[in-house]
Amino acid sequence: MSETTISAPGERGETLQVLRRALAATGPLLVLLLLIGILWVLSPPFRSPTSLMLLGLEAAAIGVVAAGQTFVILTGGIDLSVEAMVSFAGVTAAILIAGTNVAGGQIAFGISDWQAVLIALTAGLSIGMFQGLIITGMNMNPLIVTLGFRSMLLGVSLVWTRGAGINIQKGPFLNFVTSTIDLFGLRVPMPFVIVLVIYFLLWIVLKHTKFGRYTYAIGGNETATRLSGINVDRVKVFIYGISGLLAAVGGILVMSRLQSGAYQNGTNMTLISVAAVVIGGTALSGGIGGIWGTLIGVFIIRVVEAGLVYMSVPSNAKEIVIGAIIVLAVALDVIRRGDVKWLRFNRLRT
Amino acid sequence: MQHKRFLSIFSVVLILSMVVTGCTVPAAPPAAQAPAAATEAVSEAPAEGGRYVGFVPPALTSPFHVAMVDGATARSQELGWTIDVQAPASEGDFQAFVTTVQQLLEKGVEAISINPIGTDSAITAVKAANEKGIPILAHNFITPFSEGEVNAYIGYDQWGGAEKLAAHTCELIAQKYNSTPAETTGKVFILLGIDSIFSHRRTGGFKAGLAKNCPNVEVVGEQTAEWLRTKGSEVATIALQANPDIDVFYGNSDEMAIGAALAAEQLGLVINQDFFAVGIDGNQPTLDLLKEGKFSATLGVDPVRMGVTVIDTMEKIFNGEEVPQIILTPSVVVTPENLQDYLDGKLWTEPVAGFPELDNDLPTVPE
Repeated sequence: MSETTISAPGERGETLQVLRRALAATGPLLVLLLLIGILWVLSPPFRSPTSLMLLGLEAAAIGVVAAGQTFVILTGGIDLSVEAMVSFAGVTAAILIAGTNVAGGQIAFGISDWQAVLIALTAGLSIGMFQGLIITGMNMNPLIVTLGFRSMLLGVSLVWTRGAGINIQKGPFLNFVTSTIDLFGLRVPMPFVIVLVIYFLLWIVLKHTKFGRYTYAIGGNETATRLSGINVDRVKVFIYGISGLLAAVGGILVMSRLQSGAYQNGTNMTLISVAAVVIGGTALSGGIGGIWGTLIGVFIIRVVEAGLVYMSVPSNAKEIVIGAIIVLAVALDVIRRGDVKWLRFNRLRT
Repeated sequence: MQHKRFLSIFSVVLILSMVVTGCTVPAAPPAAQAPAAATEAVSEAPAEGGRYVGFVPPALTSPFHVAMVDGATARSQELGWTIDVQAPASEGDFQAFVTTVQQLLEKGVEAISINPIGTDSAITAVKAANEKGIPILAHNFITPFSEGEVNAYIGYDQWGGAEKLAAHTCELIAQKYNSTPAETTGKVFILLGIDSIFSHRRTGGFKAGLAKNCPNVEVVGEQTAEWLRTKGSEVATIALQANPDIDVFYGNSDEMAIGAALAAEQLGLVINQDFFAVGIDGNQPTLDLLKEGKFSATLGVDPVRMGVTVIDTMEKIFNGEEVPQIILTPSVVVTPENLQDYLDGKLWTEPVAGFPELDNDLPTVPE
């Protein structure tokens, strides 16, 4: 999780250091628990198993997307194409399963769902890697490249579907993906289990493989990493590939939940994924952060959103709250890095 | 260092919790706070006697949906009900839409009415209501879901409405050229919404109306303006360079036609004299422009009374009355002449049983 780069002179001892670290690591988690606590007390409907299941479900797709985003941001980049990839992967899989791109058309010629999903995921991986190739090969700004791909992927989804959602009948594979596991009366949604598995795998990759160390190294100091003989470009191509793949997984989760592949399926996901990454303690400048924080970031956003419904807050306030969360998240990032002068001043005084 | 850390975490906790709780206090209606008064039981209907119902627009980002909410809220207050209006922050967020519906079901609404933009993407929500045995209605569209049981669809016929508007457009063109609709020639430019069943129906119906009433009028172009006023203005500016003598700008929504009218006026053309601007929706901004003579005609579908109809239908269902599967609300061409009557509700006719609207390029009501 988050790790500070600046250490103040005259720090008060080892224990405080440890305490600080622990707090840094658990800060977002504390916020999350507090929020859940508030909602738990104030809103009885929130306590029902179905509400908790919905929370897990709502966090699943964006959780996977944000995991990919974490990798990209760790290298100091950003992937603005994820929401379009969510839509694109869902549309692609839905059309393949339905066997038609005419909404409400006959569902007759489709291929089986696992094949369709495999194709959609492969497309996600390839398109992601292709973006990585352009970014590294032509030395282009990821902001622009991924923004361009966002537009293209949304456009393709729109053209293919003529603006309608393509409806599907779930096959055995997607039925499995959308099922729930009964755990002591709690219905744990399968997408959430998938998310946990993915996060665990990514955590291993990030902490225990060379690839993971390179990811941090690139974000920390790309030039130095390059000079030390690491093939930075290749790592980055894979990073964007991972982001594309995970966004496609998110797309499948949304599509299978809604039973519909529509070009709007990924709406808002880019912004929320970036916010979740930052709330979770990953620095926007790269090099610092971790994967689990992102999941906590996702849950913080989803709990707040759910809270607004359970507390009957007027819907239009949602935009204000989401905006506030994002600004706060970035503020938190800046504060963490010690870039705020008056805060630093404050610290020296005490 | 650690001071800073504390401060940052503390401020986030503080502000987030303020956002959550702070917004709530003034916002929640008194009756809705009753279940929140920490009783252990999972909350159900709040007010005694009154019903607790849910209403879910695609988002509250357009005056149209706000007007519908106003109507539904007013009617439920008359009945002594509590209405819980919740919507995703943006219209395209289908997942949040489904979740919102499920959360309202969890809060214990006794009936719910929904208006998803991507119709079939909300099947999961319909099924969730079905599982709980909660009556579910659909408002502002009459295109049945491919799965799930909906008690009633309440909305207007977009195709038929657009056809009516086209008939009026033909008359406008004929007046301009001192001719009759059947004989007059003219040029129409269509501003399309984002490709969807809504844009298909509104365009198809309008073209059918033109062909029927003024067959010599030509559609010189159609371009998407993404439902937006700004895009409407951009598209119209370009269109006028290619065809300076366009007689009518028709927008799948008023907003796009308003944009086109503004663009044409900037090029020195005079509305209702050199050209006409017509559209669909009949939102308040359009009605204001109509009054000032800055717009030609709109298809008014009276969202406020549509909202009232939703609550009335819920009441019938609670009373065990039979309701039609498709409840067709009226639409009427609003011009400067009948504007006041429209605002007074004099043009509103009782909703009738209707036909489902499908994306099939055929009239909703079979001919």
